Amino acid sequence: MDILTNLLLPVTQPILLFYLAVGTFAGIYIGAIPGLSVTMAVSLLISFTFSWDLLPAIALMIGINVGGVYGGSRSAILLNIPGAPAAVATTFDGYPLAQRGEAGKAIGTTVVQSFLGGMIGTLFLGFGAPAVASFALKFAPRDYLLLAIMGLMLVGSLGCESAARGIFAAAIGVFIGMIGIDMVTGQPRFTFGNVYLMNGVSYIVAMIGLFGMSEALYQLRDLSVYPVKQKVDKIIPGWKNVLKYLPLSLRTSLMGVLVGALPGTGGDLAALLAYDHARRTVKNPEVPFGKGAIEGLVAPESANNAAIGGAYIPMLTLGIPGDAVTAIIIGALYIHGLKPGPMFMTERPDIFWLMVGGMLIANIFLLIFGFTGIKLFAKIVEIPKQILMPAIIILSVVGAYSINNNIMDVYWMLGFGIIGYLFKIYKMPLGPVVLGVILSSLLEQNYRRAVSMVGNSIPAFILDILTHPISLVLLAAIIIMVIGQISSVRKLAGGQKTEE
Amino acid sequence: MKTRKMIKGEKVCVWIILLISLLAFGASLQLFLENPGVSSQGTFPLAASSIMVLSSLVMVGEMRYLSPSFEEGESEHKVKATLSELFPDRMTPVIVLVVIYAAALPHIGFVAATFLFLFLLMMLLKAGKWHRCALISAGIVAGILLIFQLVFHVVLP
Repeated sequence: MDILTNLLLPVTQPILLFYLAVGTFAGIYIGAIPGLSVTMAVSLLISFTFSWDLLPAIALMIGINVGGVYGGSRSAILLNIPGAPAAVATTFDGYPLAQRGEAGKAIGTTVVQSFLGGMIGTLFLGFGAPAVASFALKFAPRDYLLLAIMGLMLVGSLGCESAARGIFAAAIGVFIGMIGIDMVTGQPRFTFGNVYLMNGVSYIVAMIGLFGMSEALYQLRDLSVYPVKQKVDKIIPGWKNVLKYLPLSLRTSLMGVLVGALPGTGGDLAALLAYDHARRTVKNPEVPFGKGAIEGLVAPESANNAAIGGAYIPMLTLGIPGDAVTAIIIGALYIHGLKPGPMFMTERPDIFWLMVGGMLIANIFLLIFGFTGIKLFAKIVEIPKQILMPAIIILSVVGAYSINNNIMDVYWMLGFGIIGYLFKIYKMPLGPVVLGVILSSLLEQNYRRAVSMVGNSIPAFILDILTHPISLVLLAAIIIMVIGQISSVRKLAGGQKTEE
Repeated sequence: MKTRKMIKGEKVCVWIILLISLLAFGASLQLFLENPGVSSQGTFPLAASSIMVLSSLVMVGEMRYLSPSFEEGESEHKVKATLSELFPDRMTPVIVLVVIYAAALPHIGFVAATFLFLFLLMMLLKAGKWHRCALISAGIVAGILLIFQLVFHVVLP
């Protein structure tokens, strides 16, 4: 009975309902504006909610989190700029859909899928938190390492004509991510005495440059292509369509929950794994993946919103943040005198269930507000390139500067923009570069932890992987992926020789 | 039969990528040798740069499956053709303008630099007559100030 009372508290207290609504609405629009991230919004919120009562502060933060993760997909679809790392995979098919005049359909699909994913993630948070948390605890550093390698292998093979190009892009991303002070030894790496480089290269700067700036430059190459008129008359997907993609949404939402529950991973990896899962399991999509496949939107959007619920599981039950946003939220909870961890559900079940209830309601608000402003946003794509592209350049500049208030970030963003422009011309994929930068620290930290746990011995490290079931399964998955990529390359080469 | 036509300058690009990979590998090796060990600061960069070298070597090998980018007789002007492929029409002035804008930002401030950049870029791209370009530029600057500075309190350059 107590559970139900706390679960329904946001409904019974109008002020909480109000903050959840405001948070979700603001989150959608913050996420949709390139340069404004959910992480930034939540961290800004802490500065003025720490003097508030606990419950309204939590309600507002949950609303922004839920709305913002969905909002990131709008700029991914309309401008090819992911509003958040979790929306990188959404650009693969979302932007091609907008270029075909189907931005309305794409946005409508992402609203419904984000809602479904969000609800599934929340249900898992509510009813499976202890079980999922204990499963996530079984993941050792070697498993995180294997999982990150798997993620990079996946991006390497996504939407590019050659596996070598994808793998190179992922590897250069990892290499860029290692620039700066090494956190373990304190030694500078590849900084060449430059003070700016000591802090490393921000993945947000890389993301804005490689996606936003490069796209603006690339679009300016050919001004003779006129903007496509967007179809926004039928935005809400029909039941038939929702049911058609339901099995995929359920599978990818589950992936989102599990990946989100692994500390340090989050929605970006979840969305990526889900996208790859869709690409491998959907045999005959109406439109090929990378050209505007609806399945290419269903999978990442359901997974990244499901990952929110997943990320709250280790945050609340173990005191370990699942991603960057939960890392900030955990700080906010500490400010309000709460101690997330194994005893949280025993000591403060009221807050736990309030958060679950708040997340359920925020997802309902997402479904309502997600359909607002679509016509207005879709009009953005119809603006002539001569006006839209300069505006995107300015948004990229503002977005890059706002991260650290450092002009050097703007210069780096421009540099990434020009590299991205050249990569686009020469058919090199950009997604793996950004994800390589994002995952580099996860890879390296877990590699170091894993080898130090076995006495810094490589044979012992290999034996460690081979003797643990989870590691073995992950390793087997990676080997299967490598064999798959080699065989597809051989098939391609064989075909070419035969044709010759 | 080959898969697709090579893009002008693609071969040079792939060789540059291999060169960059080798430089990254060299720098990583140097870092690794400063303090060799399975979890030293150079281990992971060495692994990443080794993958870069290997994959760029594969990319070099893959080039033989692509058809030549230049037709017969066209090969005399390879550099010119590559440059016009990379920077067609107005692209060079656009990039120069972007670089000037970035350089001017800390000196003349966000509002003036952004307005001038937008105005000049729109004029260059023939977005309309000068007063239309000026009006749109002013509108964008005002919109950014309103959303970022007033609503979200974001510090602008």
